Amino acid sequence: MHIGLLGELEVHDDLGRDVAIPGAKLRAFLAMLALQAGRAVPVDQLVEALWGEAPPPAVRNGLQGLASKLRRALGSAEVLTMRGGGYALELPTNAIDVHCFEELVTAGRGAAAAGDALTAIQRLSEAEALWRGDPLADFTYEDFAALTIGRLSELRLAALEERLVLELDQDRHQSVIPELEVLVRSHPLRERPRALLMVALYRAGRQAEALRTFQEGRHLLADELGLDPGPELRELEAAILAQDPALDATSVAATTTPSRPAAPRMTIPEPLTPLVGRDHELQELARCLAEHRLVTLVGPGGVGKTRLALEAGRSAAAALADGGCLVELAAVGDPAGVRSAISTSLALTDPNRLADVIGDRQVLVLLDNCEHVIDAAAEVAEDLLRHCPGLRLLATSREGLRVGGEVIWPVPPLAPGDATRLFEARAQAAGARSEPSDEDRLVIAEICARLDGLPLAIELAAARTRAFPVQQLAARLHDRFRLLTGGARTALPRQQTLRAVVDWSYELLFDDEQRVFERLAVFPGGCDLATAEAVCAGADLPPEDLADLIQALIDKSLVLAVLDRGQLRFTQLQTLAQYGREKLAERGEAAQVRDSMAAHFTRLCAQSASAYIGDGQGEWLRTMDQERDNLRAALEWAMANDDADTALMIAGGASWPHWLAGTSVEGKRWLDDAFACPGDASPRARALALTGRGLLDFQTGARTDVDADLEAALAISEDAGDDGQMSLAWSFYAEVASTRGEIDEARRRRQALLDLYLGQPDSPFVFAVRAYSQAKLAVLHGDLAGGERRYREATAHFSTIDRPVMLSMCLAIVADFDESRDDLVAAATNLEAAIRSNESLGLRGYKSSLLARLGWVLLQLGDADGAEQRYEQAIDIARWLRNRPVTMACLTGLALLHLRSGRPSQAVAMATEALELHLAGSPLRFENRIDPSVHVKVAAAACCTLIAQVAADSGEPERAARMLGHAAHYRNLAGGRLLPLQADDRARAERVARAALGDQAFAAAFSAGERSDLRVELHGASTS
Amino acid sequence: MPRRQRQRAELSRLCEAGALTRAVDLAFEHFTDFGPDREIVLILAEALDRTSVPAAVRHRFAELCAELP
Repeated sequence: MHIGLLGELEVHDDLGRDVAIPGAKLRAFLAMLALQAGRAVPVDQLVEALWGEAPPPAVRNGLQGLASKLRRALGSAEVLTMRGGGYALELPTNAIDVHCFEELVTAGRGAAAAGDALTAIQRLSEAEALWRGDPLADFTYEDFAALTIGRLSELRLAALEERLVLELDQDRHQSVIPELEVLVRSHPLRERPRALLMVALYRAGRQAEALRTFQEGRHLLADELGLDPGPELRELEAAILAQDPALDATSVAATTTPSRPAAPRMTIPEPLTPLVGRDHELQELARCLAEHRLVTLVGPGGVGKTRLALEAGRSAAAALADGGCLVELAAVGDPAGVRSAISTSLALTDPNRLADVIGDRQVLVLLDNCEHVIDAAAEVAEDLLRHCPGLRLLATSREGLRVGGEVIWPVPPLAPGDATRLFEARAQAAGARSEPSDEDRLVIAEICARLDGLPLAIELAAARTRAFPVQQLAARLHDRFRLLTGGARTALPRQQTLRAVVDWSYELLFDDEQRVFERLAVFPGGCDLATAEAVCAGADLPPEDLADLIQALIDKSLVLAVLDRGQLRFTQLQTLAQYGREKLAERGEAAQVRDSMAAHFTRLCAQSASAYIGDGQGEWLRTMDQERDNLRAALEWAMANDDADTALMIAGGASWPHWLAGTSVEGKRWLDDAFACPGDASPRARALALTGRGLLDFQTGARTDVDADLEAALAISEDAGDDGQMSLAWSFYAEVASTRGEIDEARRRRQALLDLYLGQPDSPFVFAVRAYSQAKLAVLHGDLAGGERRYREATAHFSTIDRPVMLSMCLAIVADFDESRDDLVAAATNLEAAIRSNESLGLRGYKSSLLARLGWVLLQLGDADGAEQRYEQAIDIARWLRNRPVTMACLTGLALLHLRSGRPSQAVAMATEALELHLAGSPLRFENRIDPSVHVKVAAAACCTLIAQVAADSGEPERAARMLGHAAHYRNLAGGRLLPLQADDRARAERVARAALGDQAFAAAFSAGERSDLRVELHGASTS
Repeated sequence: MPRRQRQRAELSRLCEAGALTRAVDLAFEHFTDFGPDREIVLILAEALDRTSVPAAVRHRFAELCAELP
């Protein structure tokens, strides 16, 4: 039997004769089964794909009818079987062309990796030959086929390009040109085939045509997408222009493989306990994840979906270039929060640009517990899978996401042997009295069978072995189930089995334990002991008992204790938390406990202003970060109850921590929600929220005119005599004016803040912050020496208190002063200390800025390796966060390093990209430098000088002279400082250009560069 | 009231209400956390004397008594 899907559906029997499959539904049924040959496709998935979301009542009969017809058409009953709640096509994968194609591509890639190019070409050619037309051509508009069609088309193209690369490496440039020309015509915006064609033409001695191919691509990209060619294509063009010998000698893969910015590699967290059993499931899932981009583990609560997904996800992510991350959706109460949760897990700043930032990265995202936000999760999954070809999604849910191309993978219960091993392991961990005897083991096996092999049920039962020997345990469970089944020995549905065990476990709690179990369920993000004491205690429950009660729940596997940044936190599995919330509602205490939780987090957020201006900032920020999911839940509770005061206090209090954590967009969403909440709000809450909105609007670039919010906040705080809140608002109010370049206004505001601090009683913090304000004011008045002295003073004060952010900022500015005096060793030392101080909070955006600055200092100190290492770290983060100024700084440094290592074309490409970023506009908001714009101009001058130097060495004296003119322009803007590192190179470039052009022509070109628009120079560079 | 006493009080209340199956089960849990307690056994014994319960409960109570030193 042969089934073909790489074109219109075709079926041949073993003798090669056509087999007719009548009817569109039957053909779709066969195609779905063939795509997953050998594996059962769940009935629900088949029904939805074939009949849509509103199937007729007797649809299962309809499906059975289709199965009968298919068996008849295929002439065999065994070829189609029913197993595990689905239908499976029992054919080897080599009977289906899609699988043959994928295996041949894998074999080809393997041979290429092993250096056997001829075999690789052979295998890849065989793979291509299997194609008869568009993949799944009969099913183009069917949802089930959409993602597979996209994936197969992309794989076909990639395989074709890989084969052509191998052919070029075999010096077959003449013979591949026609094929590449067709490929470029059919995919004109794809850069890789165009790059290959340019290389082939160049090697065939057709340099002008190679350059024309580049120009055509460039115009097309500009017209169609408004984009410039990528740096690789531009670099290739430069190499062709320069007749770079590397083009002939180097492997084509090395010259044309698009290099994309590396992202920080992410990992899925390692579970605390080893996985018991599941070997077979892990193998199956590994295969499934290798072949499909969306796999959803489904099953009832407690079947072990999350645990299995963590293990399978970790393995699959380890093979991907960008790793993987875990997105816990259990804590997301609002469907709109799904994007934010993914964005936060990926350490991105803007949830609205997820697809854009993920791009073509090879990353696995594990979406855990999708069921309560299933529609939103499905929508985001579909969007991301369409736009991000390297993305793989692994989801866990009680039902499928119902997205085209999704493979629904029902998680089976534990196999009997694994179930008993899990029981014994958990019983041991729970402090079981002794090793089980052989007789005990028989009873344990019986218990596990009675519990349907459900891991959570087994864990709950095993946790009781401290109080009950296994025989007693079996007897109690037996009674429980006999009650539920009316004495019959019939098994309960799995869902009811778990419910029965959770009920049983809950009833074995004393009343106070039950109350704590229920109350802990309101924390989507778990909590620490202090929070539990504050929220869960009451007249019926003394706070001092909470520790013991939580420990009792941990012993019974009803609560988990996890270590987060050295702090013990308590969480519950989703199934148990849901049960706890139900019980809490039954008791009629849900509103009271949620009110208590909201009040607790309101108190935490009310400390926001004092945490910003006072001591103890580090610890408060860590708490805010750990409590983020709970804060969001409290905010939602406040909004649901029209409690504007609480909503504004929480959203406002969390605003500047959002800014420092790089999640300003999310923080802005909280504030927008809070301001939309009806109800009265206290002046204090309004002032905090207005300050937060002013800050985040300015920071995200939503508005630059944020004075009205900040002024309103100041007026309210002044009326209330709230010095802490006034200091917070004045700090941002002054900084906004500085950043906008309104020096007089900035001086006025900064002076007002200083006056406020001068009026406060002396304390280590007040000393520090006075010095800091005086330093800022001195710099605004142009008194750099005074500014430096005050900054050093502030640094000394801040180092004595818990203010890691302020300490890090002061150290960074002190390093600026060191650098301006050419004391590079001191600058490096202070930057390293700033990085260490920031490390305690992990503020990624700020870290990348500090690393880039340290790279620059090390570069000037001659430590190329150290500089490169810092730049690589910084650029990974900066590109990921789309921080233009830092990316520009890194590219500048890396360009200089490339040039020093004898790689001029890479150096020019990077310098050009840096300048393009600069020209695209680089907002410098709240940068901690004496004058941030100076450093951007110094970097721009360095890039122009570098390009000039390479142009001079490449026989382009006129361009060299113009770029030297551009460099001089930027140098003048930066105060005339010439980077010592480049002094010799610059002089040599000028000498070479002047000698080639003569003094007059050199001066004319130089002057033209000084006056002209750099954009024209860069964009015209390719044609010059 | 300390937790140990609260649990004792709860067991007494369960006995008074005639919820002896649960009371015996919880007594096992109490013993695990606080050690065997003769007073609790006495409370349960009195309750069992005045209440009609399934044989299984009496059997488990006997197992509980065996926990006493």
